[in-house]
Amino acid sequence: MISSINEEACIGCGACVKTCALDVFRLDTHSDKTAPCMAACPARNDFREINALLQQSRLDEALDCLKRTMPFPALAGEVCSHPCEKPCSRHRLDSSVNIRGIEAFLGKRDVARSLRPVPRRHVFKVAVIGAGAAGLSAAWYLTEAGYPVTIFEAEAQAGGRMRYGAPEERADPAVLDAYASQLQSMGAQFRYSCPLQPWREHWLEELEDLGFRAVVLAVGDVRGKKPPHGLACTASGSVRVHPLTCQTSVRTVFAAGHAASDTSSPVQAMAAGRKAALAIGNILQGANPDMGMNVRLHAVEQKDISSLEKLERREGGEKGVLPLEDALEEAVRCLTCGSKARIAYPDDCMTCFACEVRCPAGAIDVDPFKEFHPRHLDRRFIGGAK
Amino acid sequence: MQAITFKTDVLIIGGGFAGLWAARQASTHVKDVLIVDKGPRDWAGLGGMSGGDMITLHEDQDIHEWLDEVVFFNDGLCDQLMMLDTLRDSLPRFHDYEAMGHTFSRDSRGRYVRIPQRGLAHVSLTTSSPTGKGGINMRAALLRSLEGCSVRRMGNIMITAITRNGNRVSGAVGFFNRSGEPVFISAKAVLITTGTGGWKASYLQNSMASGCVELALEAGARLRNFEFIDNWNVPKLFAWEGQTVLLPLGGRFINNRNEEFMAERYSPVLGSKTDTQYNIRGMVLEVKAGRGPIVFDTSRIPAECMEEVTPAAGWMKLNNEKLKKLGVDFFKDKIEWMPQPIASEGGIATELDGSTEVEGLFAAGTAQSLPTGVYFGGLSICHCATSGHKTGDAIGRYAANCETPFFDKEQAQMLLQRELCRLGRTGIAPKDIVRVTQELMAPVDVCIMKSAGGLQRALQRLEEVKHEALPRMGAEDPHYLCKMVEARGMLMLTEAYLRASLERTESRAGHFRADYPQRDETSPLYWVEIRRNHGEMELVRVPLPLDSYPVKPYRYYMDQFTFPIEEVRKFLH
Repeated sequence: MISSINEEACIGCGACVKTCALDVFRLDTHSDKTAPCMAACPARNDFREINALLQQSRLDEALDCLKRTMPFPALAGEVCSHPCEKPCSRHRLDSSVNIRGIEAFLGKRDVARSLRPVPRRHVFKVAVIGAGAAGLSAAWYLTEAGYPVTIFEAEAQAGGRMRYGAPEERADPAVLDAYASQLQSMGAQFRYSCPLQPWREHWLEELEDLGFRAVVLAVGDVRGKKPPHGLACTASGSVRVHPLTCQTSVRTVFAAGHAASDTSSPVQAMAAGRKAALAIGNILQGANPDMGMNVRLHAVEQKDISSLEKLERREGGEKGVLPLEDALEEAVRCLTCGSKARIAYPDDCMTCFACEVRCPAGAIDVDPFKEFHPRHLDRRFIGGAK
Repeated sequence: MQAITFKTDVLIIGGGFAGLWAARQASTHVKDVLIVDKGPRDWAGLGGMSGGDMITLHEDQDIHEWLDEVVFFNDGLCDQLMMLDTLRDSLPRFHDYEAMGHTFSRDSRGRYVRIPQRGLAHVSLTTSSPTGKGGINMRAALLRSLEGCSVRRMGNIMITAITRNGNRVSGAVGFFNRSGEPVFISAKAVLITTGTGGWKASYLQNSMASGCVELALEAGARLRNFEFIDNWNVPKLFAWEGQTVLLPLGGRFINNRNEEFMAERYSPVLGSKTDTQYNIRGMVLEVKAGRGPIVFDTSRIPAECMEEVTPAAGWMKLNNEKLKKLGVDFFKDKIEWMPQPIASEGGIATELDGSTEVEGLFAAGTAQSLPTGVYFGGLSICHCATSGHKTGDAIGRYAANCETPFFDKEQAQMLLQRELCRLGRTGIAPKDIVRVTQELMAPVDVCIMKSAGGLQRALQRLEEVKHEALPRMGAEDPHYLCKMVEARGMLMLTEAYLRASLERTESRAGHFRADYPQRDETSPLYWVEIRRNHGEMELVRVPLPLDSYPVKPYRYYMDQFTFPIEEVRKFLH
């Protein structure tokens, strides 16, 4: 019968969870230690938690978890270079987990969802200028939080560089359309072909007069162009922002993406858009913009995993999207670094020792004495003398 | 909330050895095969935990001698045509295993190590090497052999019903057992390769409380041989795999007077070198006579064989080491053993190719029924390979030549809702139903020296549980929903066992009735079959087609035993 898990020794790889046929174990993924993939991700996607959920086939929760930091998984599956895969612990054993494929799989489910309007929870409107990666991301999180959001876009369609950029920057236009349409269903308003010309003297006052109490400036690269009026810029000409909150020199204006950075990948832009949205939420509630945003990372220590079973990495099908069964299996390859296993359902252990045999950390102890079963030769069952 | 829907040519329920063999063969005929298993993907069922020993008819052995002996061993109750196929195909599958990279033991002269079974002259198993890793290595070999085959494998899916379109199967429904997420599977043909279920005994077969009985009956298939169960001897406190090898090498059961009671009282010819069913009957009589407890004695195993029987790897090695640390030495101490009903030996009645009378529904491996309560070590490993291979071929051909039937999603949703509606509900814990069922099975007059009185009493208790506890079961989370379906399956299996045991009013092979201790020589040999009729189990006696069988039963293994009638009658109340 399962006896104990030495919590200190447990490396959270989940070998026990993945081995037990009686489903005795579960993983606790919440930890102050950051998994290496998350530390390397510009958006801080928590793939430890996501994969742990997928290992339990909790697909919707896995997608919800990803959406907390990545508004557009279907785009990220395409346009992100996935620096998260490089430090993956699995790399030391066989090859890194195909996080891109898993993200693309979740993304495919994500764009197929039909979303209902989000109940409006706030009076004051927020303006988002530019419907590129940063602007769409900010709009997503603000709309989700119940703010009335209007997105002003100079072009005829959403996507920014992901639609109109160089060929290698572009994403699938159908996916862009799907996300724009989801945003619209949630309640965000798009004003296409509507350049706001933020270099004009009174652009901020005009927005304020229209009822907008905060602005996300996400117009792309502004270097070498007319600088946005009233905002401090860096030497290179980008808008100067606070690195944590994306707040500009004007309290209610936030800049994200290429507008505020000399280099910006789409995922960096989405991450910045999210930060701007959170900070706006903070100031509109009367708090400091950086409330709850200063999260420190504590790396997980590297442990010996050489005794774990090697498993082949699954590559995606069309456009790198993993089919369901491969996505679930690829998630099983994740070592959920920094988690802790626990005995969740001890009542069904059959004393097969599989968990103890497979545990690379020697953390599990199974007592060879088994569950007490009805004994046929006892007086009660044999009748009469024993 | 997008429901997960799979479409496949061949759906295989159960990813154990039979399922893996079948998938390998079926995939040569169709584009897509899908295996679903309620355990983790690729844990490969009980085969992966077995010793990997395999009944194999080698080239120098004669199939007719073997068949004659098997019919003798089963006291005439042998599906001879299926057994012939199994024996004939055992060597090709044995060689397939070798080609996949699996290793069977050889002695110093390079010959395969064969261990004769149950005191028989011919039938023997061939052992895997190294001891303790046979099943693990077979699993790895089978999985390697699937590389490049169009076989998808999914774990953690509990199938709760097979869907039909008229008399034809159209797929199955179930749920992910860690999330409760619904799963719909449309298929051209469905193969059941789960076990038929058991009583979660303490011998590594906990997981066998599968819902296969319910699945098959609801789908319209016939069940056969449910009066036969695998009664197994186990150490009272822990598990030990390898009895089928230990006994032929000199292991024996002794009573509190140090007597090898089997040899002294019940079978001077065979002693302890027999099937567990007979050893258990001896144990029961000894304990009833006040000569318990029964211990397992290994002191007569020759020193040169000790290496072969000492676990060298895997869980068996770990188990042995841990026991030693606790001061228990399996080979030196007097270890008390006890009998347990482990699993049903009944199965789904099929044709030789695994097909059933429900169009598109097949069964293989232990979901079929081959042994009748008496069992040679290594038979399951053999039968799962041969029947998996053969049925895989048949179902693949069948699916290659038909269209996908209409999958009625609404009907499927209704079938599934019956289960999912219990999710989140507080109620009687599945474990309690399992406990009640185990206790209901435990009395000696229910599972070993059966009598109408004992069986009726158990049946009455079962009906009470069915009516009082079953509807009040709850599943607080998906894990317990899965256990709930298992517990219900265990109750159904127990009902099938009790009713079939009452129906067979004689003693034969693994079935012993204290109130009918002799063979029924007046009526022709029959199978007891069960089918569903208006929600109830209907039992039918079906005569064996002896005309088409090569061996007409003429000698009986049970005749090598004498269990004194006055002692046996003590179990009739």
